[in-house]
Amino acid sequence: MGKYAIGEFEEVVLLTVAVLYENAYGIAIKEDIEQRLKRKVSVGAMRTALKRLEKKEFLTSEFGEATAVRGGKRKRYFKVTPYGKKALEKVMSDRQKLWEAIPSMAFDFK
Amino acid sequence: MAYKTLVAASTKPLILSILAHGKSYGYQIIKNVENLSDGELSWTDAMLYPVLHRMESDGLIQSEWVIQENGRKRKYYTITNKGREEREVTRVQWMNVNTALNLLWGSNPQLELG
Amino acid sequence: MKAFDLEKAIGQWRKSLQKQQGLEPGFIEELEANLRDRMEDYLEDGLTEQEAFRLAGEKTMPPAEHLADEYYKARTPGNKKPPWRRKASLLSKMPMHFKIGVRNLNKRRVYSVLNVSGLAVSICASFLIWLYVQEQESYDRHYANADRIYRVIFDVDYEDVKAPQADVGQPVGPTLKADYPEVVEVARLRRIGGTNTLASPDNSIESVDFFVADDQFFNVFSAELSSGNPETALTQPNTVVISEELAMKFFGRTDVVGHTLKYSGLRPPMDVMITGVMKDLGEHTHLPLKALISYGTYFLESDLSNWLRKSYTYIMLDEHNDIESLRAKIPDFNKRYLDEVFEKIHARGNLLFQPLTSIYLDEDYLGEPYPHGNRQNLQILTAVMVFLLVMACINYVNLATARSVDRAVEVGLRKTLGSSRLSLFGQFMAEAVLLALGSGLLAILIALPVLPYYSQVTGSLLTPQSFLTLKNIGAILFVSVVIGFISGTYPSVYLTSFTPKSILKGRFATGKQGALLRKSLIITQYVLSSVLITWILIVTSQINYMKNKEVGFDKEGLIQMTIPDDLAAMKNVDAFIRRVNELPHVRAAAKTLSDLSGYYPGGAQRMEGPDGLPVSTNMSAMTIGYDFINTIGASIVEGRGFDRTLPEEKSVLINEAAVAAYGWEGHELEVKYLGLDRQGKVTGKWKVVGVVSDFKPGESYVEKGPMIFYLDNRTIPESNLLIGMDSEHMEATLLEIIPIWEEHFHIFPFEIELIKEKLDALYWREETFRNLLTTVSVIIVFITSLGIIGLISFTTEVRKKELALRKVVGASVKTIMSLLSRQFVMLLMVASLIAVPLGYYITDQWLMNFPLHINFSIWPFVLTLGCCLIFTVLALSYHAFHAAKANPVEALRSE
Repeated sequence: MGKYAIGEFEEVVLLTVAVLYENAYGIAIKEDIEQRLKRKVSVGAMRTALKRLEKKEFLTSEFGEATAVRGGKRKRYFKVTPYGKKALEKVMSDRQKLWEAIPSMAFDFK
Repeated sequence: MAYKTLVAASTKPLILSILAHGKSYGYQIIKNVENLSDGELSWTDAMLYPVLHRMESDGLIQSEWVIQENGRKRKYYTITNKGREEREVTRVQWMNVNTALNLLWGSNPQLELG
Repeated sequence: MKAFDLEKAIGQWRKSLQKQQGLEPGFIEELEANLRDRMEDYLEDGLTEQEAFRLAGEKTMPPAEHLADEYYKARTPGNKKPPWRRKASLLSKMPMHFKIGVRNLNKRRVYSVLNVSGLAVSICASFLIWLYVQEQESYDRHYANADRIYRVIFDVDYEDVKAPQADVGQPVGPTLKADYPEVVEVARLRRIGGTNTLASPDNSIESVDFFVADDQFFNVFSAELSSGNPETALTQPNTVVISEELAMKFFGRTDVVGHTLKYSGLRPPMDVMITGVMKDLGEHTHLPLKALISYGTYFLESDLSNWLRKSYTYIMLDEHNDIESLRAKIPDFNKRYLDEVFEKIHARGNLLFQPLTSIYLDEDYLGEPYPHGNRQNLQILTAVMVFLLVMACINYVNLATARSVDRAVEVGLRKTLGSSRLSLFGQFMAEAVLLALGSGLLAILIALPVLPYYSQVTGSLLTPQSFLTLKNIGAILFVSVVIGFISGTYPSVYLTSFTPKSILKGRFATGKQGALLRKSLIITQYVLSSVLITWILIVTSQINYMKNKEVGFDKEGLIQMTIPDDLAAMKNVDAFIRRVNELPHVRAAAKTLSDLSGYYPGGAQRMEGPDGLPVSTNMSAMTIGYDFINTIGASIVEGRGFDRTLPEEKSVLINEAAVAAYGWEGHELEVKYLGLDRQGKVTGKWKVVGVVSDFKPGESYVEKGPMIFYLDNRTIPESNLLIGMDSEHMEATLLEIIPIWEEHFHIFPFEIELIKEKLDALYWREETFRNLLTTVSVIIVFITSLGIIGLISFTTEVRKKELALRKVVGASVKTIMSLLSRQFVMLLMVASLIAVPLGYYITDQWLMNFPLHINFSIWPFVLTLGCCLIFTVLALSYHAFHAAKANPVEALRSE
């Protein structure tokens, strides 16, 4: 797997962060995954994934503007790093290679 | 979600093993467990804190209130010598179970059957 | 929409946890720190404060009970349910409540003493009353099948006088059994004459407790024979079954079947053989008989078919015990058997069935073998018992609510600290129950020294051993607990209703509602006490009135002796009277068959009126010897008295009231008294030779009425001998009579009765009633005093600060005293307004029982209220004085 090793859920989170672009913060990421992929995401699992992705430097985070509804507490926004983008591309190309290798007969399930 | 009994049985060793690395507070312990388990073990406060109190009164851990910079208080727990002994005992036990399960789930477990 | 206030939300969250038992403050602090940490992360995730708070809060698994469960589980080994999960959680908290209760009671010792002693006295008194009532109601219940046994009685209607008779004709029982299959057993028994004598060679016992009984006795009454065969014991003539007690007296042992006793009743002495010894029937039966003489010993075969020869007859019904259906068949029975019999004596008769177990408390019928208890008395006593307990409860409620100010702060604090109302309620109930239980124990202690008095008053022996049974102690304690529950409920509800805010802000005034209740309770107690005291005063003056009533004869100077039952002695009676008559201070001496302390009901007597026509009026009749009128200090107002020198066979005397009743006033005394036979025919005319001044024998309940006097100067054994003398010289005269008595009747001891004492003793019923009233009112006054003292100390306590302030600005002790007194004097006034009419009504009703009675006067009321007032003022003074004398700084500082 090499230096771009990434888990399935991590990949989903990383992609979602990329999808949300400027608006990628915890709860938005969770909700987006839930909506788009129709799967339940636990806050804990999501946080763990984010933390790990940040550690692998696929992601960086920074605080946004403070707002009153959070009592002056600022949101943490996530951004995909170029390194992260590479990792995603690597996953994509790996997948692509595999797809191309499938003989057309393989899906003939009749 | 893990089985309830398994969670209950693993709580104490997990807490002791975390604290063996240094002092921590309740919520941090919860977060650590979540991280370590890929979010699979998600403890509730109602589960953890009573156990911490119990372990403290059993002398396995001890606690102190620490005032934060922002003025809030947190109760930090550290492991005691008795707690370390206890961790060692449980570690051996869990290792035994772990080894056995690893072998069983491996490619060629040595089993006598039939 | 209102903005979300995080701190407020956390505050509420904290409060909800504080309310939960099992969560200690330290736990909650830590959880709060955790909550805030958790929220911080959620906020970072981009949640709003409200969402973050909600999500973070969910981790503590609300409701708070779950959290508490976890803490409990973590610290308690085993699978025990936490206390707040246990079903009877209030009860399981009781031990703790009791512990706190003991502390509280100890802290407020005066209050506890007041309350405990009031309750204890009431419990003690009511329990003793209850024991007595129980004892009285237990009569005859110990016989097997007692509920199926009935006594058959004759309800005889004789010349329009209805008189149920305790005994019925001989054939009644056997005929009932023969005619009606539901009558399975019949037994008859009868007392022969007044007393009977049984004698062994060296012992003789005379008793009213010997009965003749038919051989069915043991089939109806489950008396146990310790030797002998119940089937055959009474079948033969001249046999007897005696009680073990008698056997012990005669022989010193109980296996005496086959021995012989000498029996003398109305018949000449005869030998009877003992065929059985029975276990004692006990005290609690209307027939406490000691010996059963076989029916054949006394009755002839011909007696047994005589419907007018009577016996006490008892029947036992079959299992269905359907007495009503048997009663329905009686008219037919009457028609077949009784009507013909009663017609002969110009009467009508009916059969009634009286349940065995109610005989003792039913009224006495004609010919009862023994006097009965009195059901009405028991009902009064039961009412008194309930009344006492209610008073005690009232007092508890009163004292407990009175202390509400004191407790209110406690309630406020505990509620703030998270006690639930239920838990506080439990606390107050525990205190009430504890207090009542203590009172129960004290009641048992109080009862012990009272037992001898109880035995004396009730006539049933109660020793500490027989009193201190597990059952009695259990009953007392049980009743105590129940009282605790009953009387604790209101104060508990009341005290726990305070809201902490109002109390702790100091805005708590003694609730108006509570004050009103307390006041009405106190007024009730005042009213009851003063009505009772008034009643006692009135009963006392009525008794004195009756005792001192002018009776028309010299009751002070009269002594009575009994003529000895001895032939030689009887011959000397007239000589004795002559000698006594010679003594200087003796008015006269006379024989009489009548007793001045006796009761002489009037009977219809016929005399000729002035117009020669017969007039019928009720007159009491006395049979007297020569000189009787003179002896008793009455006088002959017209004509003459009986004269030894004249033939008096057809002479009678009447009194002035009789002259008036027959319309002879102002006429020459030419009256004829008409003697009548049973059929109403005139058998002879008697001449009225003189008119006696009116006097009243017996009780002075009614005015002196018409009387007639017959002469009978025979010397009859056991009849009375009266000596009238100057009461001033009674002692000296008695000393002179003694040698004369000894001279004439040497071996017979000189025994006299004072007529005055015998008359005074007639009012025992009223005196017993007064004693009962006195006992009850002593208790009630005691309880009331406690209540008043409690209320007074409460009032002064509440107003401590006010009084101190008043003092600081210059109020005198006197001003403060009058300030405090006002409220109580007002209460007393209100109580008087109720007590006077109520007391008037009750005492008036009671006085109506007496045709002759004192007139109602206000004085007993004034006296009673005066006493109440003095007591209240005294109690008040003590507290008020303390309050007034106290250093105001002390009172004002105590915040």
